[in-house]
Amino acid sequence: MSEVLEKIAFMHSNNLIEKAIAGDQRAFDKLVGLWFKKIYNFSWKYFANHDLAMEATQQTFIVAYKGIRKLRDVDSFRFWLYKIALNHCREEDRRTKRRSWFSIHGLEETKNYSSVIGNPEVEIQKKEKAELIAGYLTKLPGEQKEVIIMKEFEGMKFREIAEALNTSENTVKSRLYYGLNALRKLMENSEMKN
Amino acid sequence: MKNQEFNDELISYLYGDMSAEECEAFEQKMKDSPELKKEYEALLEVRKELADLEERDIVAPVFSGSHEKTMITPVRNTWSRYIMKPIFEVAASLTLLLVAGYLTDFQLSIADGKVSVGFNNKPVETVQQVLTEPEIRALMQEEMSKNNHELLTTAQKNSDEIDTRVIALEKSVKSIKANTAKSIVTKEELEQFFTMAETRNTDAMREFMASATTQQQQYLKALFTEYNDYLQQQRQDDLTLIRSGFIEMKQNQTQQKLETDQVLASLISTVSTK
Repeated sequence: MSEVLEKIAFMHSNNLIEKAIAGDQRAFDKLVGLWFKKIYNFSWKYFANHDLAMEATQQTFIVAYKGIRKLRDVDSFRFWLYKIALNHCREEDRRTKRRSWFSIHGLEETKNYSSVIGNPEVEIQKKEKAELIAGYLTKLPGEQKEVIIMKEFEGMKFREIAEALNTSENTVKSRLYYGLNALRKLMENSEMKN
Repeated sequence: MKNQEFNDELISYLYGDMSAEECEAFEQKMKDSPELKKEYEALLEVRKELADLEERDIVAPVFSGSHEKTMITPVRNTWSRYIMKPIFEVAASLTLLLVAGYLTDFQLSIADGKVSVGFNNKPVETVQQVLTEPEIRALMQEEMSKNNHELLTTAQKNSDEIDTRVIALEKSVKSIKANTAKSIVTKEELEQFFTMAETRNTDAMREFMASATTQQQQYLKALFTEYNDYLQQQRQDDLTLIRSGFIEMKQNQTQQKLETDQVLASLISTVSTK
């Protein structure tokens, strides 16, 4: 039921976006409530790390707040927001790599998120598998990872991804092809080791 | 045909980004090449695995644009940011001081109750005594009498000021006593006051709850009305479409009937002529 309501809310979010562009603070707060989970999940798949994902998500909304008045087209809000998130993920990734030698915990996951619901054993297995797959994603080159996340999880069209990444649709398809193949190899290697 | 074009086609097929004809053509290509089909199935398997990566639940923090900095919580790199950084800063400063000390041959020693500081191993020059003992005594005497005079003056001033303040304080105590005597609050009055305050608070809370509920109801009502309008509009559009279809069908039928009549008339006239 909550998913249905969420979909209805997304259907009606154009009005909120218009108000936020006009400077309505409360409308922007509601937009944050609506989009936070999506942007967080986008970032989490990029890093497989809660803290980095939270940081990137927060920075995304701060930049969005500062720049929303300049947004001309309501329909482009979604891509605009993803584009900001992507830029922050890239920046955060570069920063993390630069200081990874300095940090003790590096990309270690803090594991302080969602509680286990339902059958604990099944939930834990599911969670572990999700973390494993997210871990594979982090091993891919940035450009392949971005395309996989946008297509596979955010359900964006090839044209939309190409627009967001300032590239051609063919390049997007090519990156997706190589990315999926790289993932396949990683999964096969992991199975062989196990 | 293992080339870039095939890769793009495979991806388009995998994500349903092809027309029906293109799909058929590609399926034919896969039939001809089992190796390509195998690759397609492998990628499909990867997609199924990726589907296990479910969305995580996260609670959106309260965002206030005017206080945007409060939203940023120091969630990561606590070690490097809050522990390692200050340590390295102190270490860098010490290293700088040590290097500077080494280069300038800095000397520091404590001997015979004296602290000596110097550079380049040179002895520290001490200030030579140029005054005789009686002269020093006279100077001390003069300084002490001056100090005593100043202290006495200050004490006198302070004493006067304290007296003034004591008088003022006595006055205010008297005034407070007089006022207190006038306005003694009974226990009943206090209880009444608290009861009133409690009632007022309860009323305010109730009003707030009622207002919030009404607002929520209004919002939900508006949302559902809008959704209902949207559905109605959709239904209306569908009906219009169906109606126009029927009208068109009817027109076609009439046209067909006319044509049939014309053909029949033509046939009849042909037969009757013969």
